[in-house]
Amino acid sequence: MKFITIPIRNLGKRPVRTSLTITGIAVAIASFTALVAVSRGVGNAWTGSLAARGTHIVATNRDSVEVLTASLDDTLGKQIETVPGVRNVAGELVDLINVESRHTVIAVGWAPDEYMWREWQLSEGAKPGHDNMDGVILGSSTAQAMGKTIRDKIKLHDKEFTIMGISQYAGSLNDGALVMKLSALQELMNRPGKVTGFHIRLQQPDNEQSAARVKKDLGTAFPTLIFNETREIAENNRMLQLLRAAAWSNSVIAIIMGLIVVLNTLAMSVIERTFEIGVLSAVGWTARRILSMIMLEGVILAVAGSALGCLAGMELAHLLARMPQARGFLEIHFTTRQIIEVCLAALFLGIAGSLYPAWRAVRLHPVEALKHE
Amino acid sequence: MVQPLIEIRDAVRNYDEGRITALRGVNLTINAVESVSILGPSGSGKTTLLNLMSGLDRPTGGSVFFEGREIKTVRQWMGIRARRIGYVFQAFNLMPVMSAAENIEIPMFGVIRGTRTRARRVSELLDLVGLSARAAHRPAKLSGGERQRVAIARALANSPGLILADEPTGNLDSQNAIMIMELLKNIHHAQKTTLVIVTHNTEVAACCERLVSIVDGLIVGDAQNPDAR
Ligand SMILES: Nc1ncnc2c1ncn2[C@@H]1O[C@H](COP(=O)(O)OP(=O)(O)OP(=O)(O)O)[C@@H](O)[C@H]1O
Ligand SMILES: [Mg+2]
Repeated sequence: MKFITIPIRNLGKRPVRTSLTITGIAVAIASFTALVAVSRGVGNAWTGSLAARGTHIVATNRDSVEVLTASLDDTLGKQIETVPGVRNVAGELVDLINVESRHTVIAVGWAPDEYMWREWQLSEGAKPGHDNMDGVILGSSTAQAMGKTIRDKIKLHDKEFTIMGISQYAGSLNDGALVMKLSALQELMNRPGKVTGFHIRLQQPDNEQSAARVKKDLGTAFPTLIFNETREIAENNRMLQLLRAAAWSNSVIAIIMGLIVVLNTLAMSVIERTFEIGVLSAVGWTARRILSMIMLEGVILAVAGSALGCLAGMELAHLLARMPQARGFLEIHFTTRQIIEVCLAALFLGIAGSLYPAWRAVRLHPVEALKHE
Repeated sequence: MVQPLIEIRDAVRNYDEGRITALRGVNLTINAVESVSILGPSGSGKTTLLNLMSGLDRPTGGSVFFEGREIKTVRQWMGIRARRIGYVFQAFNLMPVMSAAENIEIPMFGVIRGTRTRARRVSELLDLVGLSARAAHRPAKLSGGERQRVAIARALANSPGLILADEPTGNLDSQNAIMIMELLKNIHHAQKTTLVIVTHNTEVAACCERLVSIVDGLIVGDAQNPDAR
């Protein structure tokens, strides 16, 4: 028999309690996994969509908390383009829009002559011509969810548009987006002459030094704007920072709940087994061995619960990402780092939760324990 | 020459801040390779005395020596219990969720390394107590006598030099009691283990080479028993 058989047997002696405990831990770990995955998923979706469009730097209002609420004059783009090292600048208006009062979609507007139109990848149809103000391009995932295809009409705020093309991207933000002419979107959203930000492409994007210098020059030339490189944007966005903080604090609460579940179960089980622990002590078990037995029980509970919880949490995160309200805004990837985080959380749960019960078990006076029958 | 294995000097054990005295100045030396019975009425302090010998309990006054060395710390006693002492209880006290073989293996953890080495030792012991055929059975499926044989095998797990038994036949009918006493005596002779048996049964006591009597927490008699086989 291996030593680990003993804690397993002990847990098996109370199958209902053990399964309930494992379920409790699984719920805690599942919410931890899902919350963190979702908060990262928003950032992933952003960074991924920007990179896929070839954007190197994004400019927006220094003081706006969230991209969608930023408001800049669309004429600023021409001035930004004059800064040395900048290749192109595309003003963009982004907003959430309700399509046929059922689907929330990210609407993106570009001026007719912007480079973004050339770069945008279609899987079907064509891009609306220079003067076609009613033509839109719909992301394939949104098109599929709405059951629309090219030449279909869609209604945005009571105004009718025609789907000219379907775009296809791996990244969920781009793949869910609705692209239209800037002036049409400005009119729909009642934001004439405004954009939410500028996409900037550099002449030498791979030269880190020059990229940093251009960014610095841009900052000096436009002090009311903030310039973020693509990879920084998710980190520096305040909404995302808030979301991450919320996810982490909820996760900490979930982990503490899991810890209390382990603690409660083992504390009860140690009290029940007072006599048995006295016997173990009498037949020669050292304090350390008794301690290891109880703590192993905690770790086994935590590992079993976390494995289940991790799977359930991943499933939950994917489910959330597919929900109509979230489709397109979330990109769920599970990285080794995240698996390691869950493993660490599980180990922490098991060890911290069993520490006190194990200490109680070791502290038992063997003679008193033997009288406890 | 006889060598003292355990020596108890002026041991006093009080409970409830001195209101109850279980032992009131006991001096007793157990020599290596003898068999000793401690006989006394209920409440006379037999279990208390046995617990001092194993370090499960500490005296309120006086001292306990193991192989000539005074043992003072819990840690020292843990080491001694792990390797040098085997304990047999009246109520068997086997782990209900484990088989006979697994119960016997329990004391070996931390002492005998390697699952295979332990398994070999377990089967030796099962053989010794005549329970090889019942190795996989849980205690609930064994008779009282068989359970006590498993408990004796468990006490022998790490080949201790000393076996302490507290009323080992107290829960058995006379036939099983005889069988257990025979087994303990055989082990005592064959393996040269020191045997201390606590009992209030004179027939059980008569199996030992030395008879110690205790009444009200005091040793009142200590004699060799030439009739012991
Ligand atoms: N924890 C305790 N608190 C108070 N008194 C105790 C405690 N343990 C034992 N005693 C008392 O000490 C005395 C000796 O007890 P002990 O268990 O050693 O007797 P014993 O000879 O083994 O009796 P029995 O044959 O019934 O097992 C008894 O009067 C008992 O009530
Ligand atoms: Mg007793």
